[in-house]
Amino acid sequence: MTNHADSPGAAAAPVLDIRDFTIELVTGKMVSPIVDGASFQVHEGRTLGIVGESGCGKSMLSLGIMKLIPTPPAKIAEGQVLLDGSDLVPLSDKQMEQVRGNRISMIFQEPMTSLNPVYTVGYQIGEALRAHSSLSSAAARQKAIELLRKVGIPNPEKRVDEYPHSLSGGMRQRVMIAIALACEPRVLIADEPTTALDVTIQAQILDLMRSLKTESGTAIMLISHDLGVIAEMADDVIVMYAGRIIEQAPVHSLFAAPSHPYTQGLLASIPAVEGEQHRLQPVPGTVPPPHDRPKGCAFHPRCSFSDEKCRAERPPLEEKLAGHRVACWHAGPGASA
Amino acid sequence: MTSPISSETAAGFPGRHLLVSLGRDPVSCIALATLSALFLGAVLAHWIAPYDPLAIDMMKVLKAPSLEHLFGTDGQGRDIFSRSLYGLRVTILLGFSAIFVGGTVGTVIGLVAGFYPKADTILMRLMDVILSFPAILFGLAIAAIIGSGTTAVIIALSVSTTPLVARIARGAALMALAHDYVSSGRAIGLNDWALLWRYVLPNCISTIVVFLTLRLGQAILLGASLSFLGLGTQPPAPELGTMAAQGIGFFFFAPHVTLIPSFVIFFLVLSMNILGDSLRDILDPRLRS
Repeated sequence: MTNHADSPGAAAAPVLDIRDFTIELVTGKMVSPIVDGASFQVHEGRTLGIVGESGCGKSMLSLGIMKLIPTPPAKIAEGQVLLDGSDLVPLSDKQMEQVRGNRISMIFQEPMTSLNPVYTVGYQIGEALRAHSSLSSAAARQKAIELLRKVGIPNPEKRVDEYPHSLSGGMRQRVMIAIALACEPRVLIADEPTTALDVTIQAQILDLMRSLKTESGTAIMLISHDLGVIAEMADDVIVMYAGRIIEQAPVHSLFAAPSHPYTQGLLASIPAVEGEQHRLQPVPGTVPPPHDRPKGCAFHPRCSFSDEKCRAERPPLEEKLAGHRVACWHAGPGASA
Repeated sequence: MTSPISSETAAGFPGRHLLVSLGRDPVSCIALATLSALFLGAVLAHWIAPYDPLAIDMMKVLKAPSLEHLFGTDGQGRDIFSRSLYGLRVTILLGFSAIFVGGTVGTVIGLVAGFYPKADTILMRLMDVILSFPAILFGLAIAAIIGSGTTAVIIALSVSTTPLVARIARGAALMALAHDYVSSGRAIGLNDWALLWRYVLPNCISTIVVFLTLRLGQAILLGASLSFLGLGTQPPAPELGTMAAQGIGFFFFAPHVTLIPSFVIFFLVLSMNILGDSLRDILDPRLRS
């Protein structure tokens, strides 16, 4: 694996290139965008973190890339999802089945309910393998044992024949990772993979994901509302608000110099372990629902910097610093933060 | 860490647990014993029955139960005990075939309706239409088309069972579909068929089976009613409903001709319902503490 430069775009062709991706929710006659013109890239061997509050569209974005959004009511309205240069959006369901689990995999938030309770762990890993190759069931079982060992499950020869209910949450998430990585996908989408786990298990799972990434070069899209997880895991970060990308930067740049008032608010709302202790600063209010997004900048009702321009015009996502793009009228070199 | 109920119940069929739980309840035990006796009688009718169920003996018409004829004789001197054993066979067969056919068709329709929202409305409204006719009316209509007989009864019972099963199966499928494992199945690239067959069906099957055991008693009762009305099994072939109907004429001086087949039906259906109920208590995760 080549070690890429720290800024996105400087490297070779991206594995996943999302352009103007828009998902709309159609309810009756009302059409409301839940993901609005998202464009970003994910590179081989790198992790892209996506942060945002509940309801900002980050899960819909990941399901949309897999074309797993419930249609209707939601649909992909426009944009491209280029996986190694070929667009997934126009593919039929049949063709998508060949892509899912094979070239793009996904880990879900709830390990407790993400495994089919009626089959053994080994069967379910084998199922993923056999869906994309003509492996015999004996060979699939062998491969399942290897995969279980790889994700750090002790005694895999025994565990392979166990049912999900006899495994703990952390173990189940390891199994989910084994299933997701079974066919050595190009991209792994992890939607809040550690949210349901307790902190020590969380650290183990993150370690595992990191080492698997270095081994296989799989590009990872990590979705989380936990900034700590993002800071630890991601190379690049996207901050989403009300369905739009509002800030996009390499992880160091984002945490060192958050430019969007919303990102600043998010960072101010987590307690500092070292240094002076302040009262935590919550971001007042909640994300507006998709059918009721304000005109102009979607964040302006909650923003302390908002002025006339913010209320009237929507700020474009622009590169304000090197590799650091922000959608805010008040951000940029010299702007007060 | 507490695991959700669904993952525990669905982990394999709790066969042993089932027997232990049934054994704890004396009423279920009696029901199980009665049902086993009736089934054995039906299966072994050929060997147990002391007389030919069709043999007419005009010298022994309408005899009351005695040692010679355990359940007495009917209007043509046929041994009611022998006829009951053979009749039980037909009655049980009627019920089971209806449950099998209606259960299979209903399950398929219900799962498809739950899985494909586009098919849902059409299929389920169709089921509602069928549901709005009483089963007896179906029996009459089908008997009118293809003629009375066992086949007509099986078709009528199957048709009237299908929409009930479809509703249950659809509900269970919707519940299973809401689980994350279906999304993760999709995310590994499984097609609709694999999802329906390996993810949705196995997670609905216990709900459907429990419903079918409860429906079995009703189906048998309905089948007997249709035969009683003369739409089902035709005389002289023994069938419990038909036999009960044949005794109506002499009900006041030889009530046993009608009462005995009726009681056999009664015990059959009662024990099935009791067992179905206990089965539901054991298998339904929502009723389990």
